[in-house]
Amino acid sequence: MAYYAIKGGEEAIKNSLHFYDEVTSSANDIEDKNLIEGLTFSIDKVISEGSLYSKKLAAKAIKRSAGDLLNASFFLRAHRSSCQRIGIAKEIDVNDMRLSRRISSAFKDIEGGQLLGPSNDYEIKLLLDLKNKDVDIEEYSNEDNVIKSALTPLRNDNLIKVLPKEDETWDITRNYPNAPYPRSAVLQVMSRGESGSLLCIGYTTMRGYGDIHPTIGDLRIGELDIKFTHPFTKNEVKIGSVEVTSVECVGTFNQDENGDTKLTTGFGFCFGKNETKAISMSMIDLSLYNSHYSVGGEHIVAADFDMIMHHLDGIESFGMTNHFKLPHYVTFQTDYQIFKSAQKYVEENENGEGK
Amino acid sequence: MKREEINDLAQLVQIEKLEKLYKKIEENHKVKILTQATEQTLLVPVQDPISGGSFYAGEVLVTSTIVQVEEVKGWSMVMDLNEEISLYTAVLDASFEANICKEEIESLLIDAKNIKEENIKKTNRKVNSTRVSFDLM
Repeated sequence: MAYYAIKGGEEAIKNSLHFYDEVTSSANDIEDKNLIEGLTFSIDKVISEGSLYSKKLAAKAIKRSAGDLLNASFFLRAHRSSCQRIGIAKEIDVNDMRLSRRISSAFKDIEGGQLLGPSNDYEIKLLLDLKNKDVDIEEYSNEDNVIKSALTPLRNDNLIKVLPKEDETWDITRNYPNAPYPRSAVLQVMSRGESGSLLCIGYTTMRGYGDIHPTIGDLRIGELDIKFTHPFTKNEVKIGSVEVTSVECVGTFNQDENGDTKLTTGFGFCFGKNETKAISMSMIDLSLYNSHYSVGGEHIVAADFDMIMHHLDGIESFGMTNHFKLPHYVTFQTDYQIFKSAQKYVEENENGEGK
Repeated sequence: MKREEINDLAQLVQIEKLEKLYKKIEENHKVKILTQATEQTLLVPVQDPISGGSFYAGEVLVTSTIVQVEEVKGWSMVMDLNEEISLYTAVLDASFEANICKEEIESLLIDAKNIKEENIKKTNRKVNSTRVSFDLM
């Protein structure tokens, strides 16, 4: 394939941008606060896929892209690449989360109980004006919910399969690895992946192409503190907190490398309240490292590291797909010329002229 | 109160109150901005419960400032794009260490902390009201 630089269309581009601004200008009337608090799940999708935790910029990006969330994530990702990275925060642990929601479908009675939190899971999905009754919450406890994972007792009893621990954490934004892919890179790819892509591949596992029916061991949404070192005192300082979602799904009992029978698990984690994404990520993680129970044939997408590492990023797939809108005269004209030449050759041969 | 608490608590204070105290300090003391409020990112490592290792979930946008109040340096790193809050917080950090308006700073931050804690308690009541009680049928 050849590339040729072309120029032109400047005035059309200028006018098109002006037209776009005019068509979408009403978005600017929406207050950032209303977007952040009211369309909170849109904001969370954008910060997760844009891989930059900034609700203010996410609101700005959603307005700039007139509600196209993938496009908004692109704005955020681009902004991220223009900022200096000052360092690495202290490692966060989902067991420290101040929970606002916590579900376990694997256990009925778990320490700390199940918390539905703010959810419309059980709402009838009809667009009727159904008013929820006022509730009196005064009688309820005001205590924090910082609860260990529901899988902790099984881990303590050494019943859960453990994967090898890496010495160093890979950062795909600085250096993209080749196969065999480090686990930290695989998890990073999924954590910043596009929700729909993760859902699609996660769904293939449920339909038989992977571990058929994982169970949610612990789904949690809540806040975690971000900490860094004060440059002058050298002590730990809280920078703020982030809302996150994590999921540990459980698969089946399986023999590990030592021949011991252990429960397989998968882990999902992302910024913001994105539970479908985190569930999907945990299912794919389970399939990647435990594909034994697939009934879907030899090629299991959810257990194919190459497929996962190169097809989940929304910004990349969005960019590649949309690049087809750019001029491809050379590509197409080359194909067309080859076709015409071949057609002419065949016609000449059929008429005996080519002999 | 420890100096390390200032960075988090100052972000809970109404910006008008922070600005008022900042101006008071600036009018009576030598305040020098060593590094302007700057957007930066922090990479966030998360513990992987399956391997015990960690992975990076993404980056958090922060705004950092370094100032000097009289002879003492102050620093802040606040969440998101918040240039004014970052500047005011860095000045409070330095002033606290330099014993400038220390009581006022403490009082302002403790008030904000108390309000925040009350709000957390209210939210906790709502969260705890959604705890599921199972009955086998």
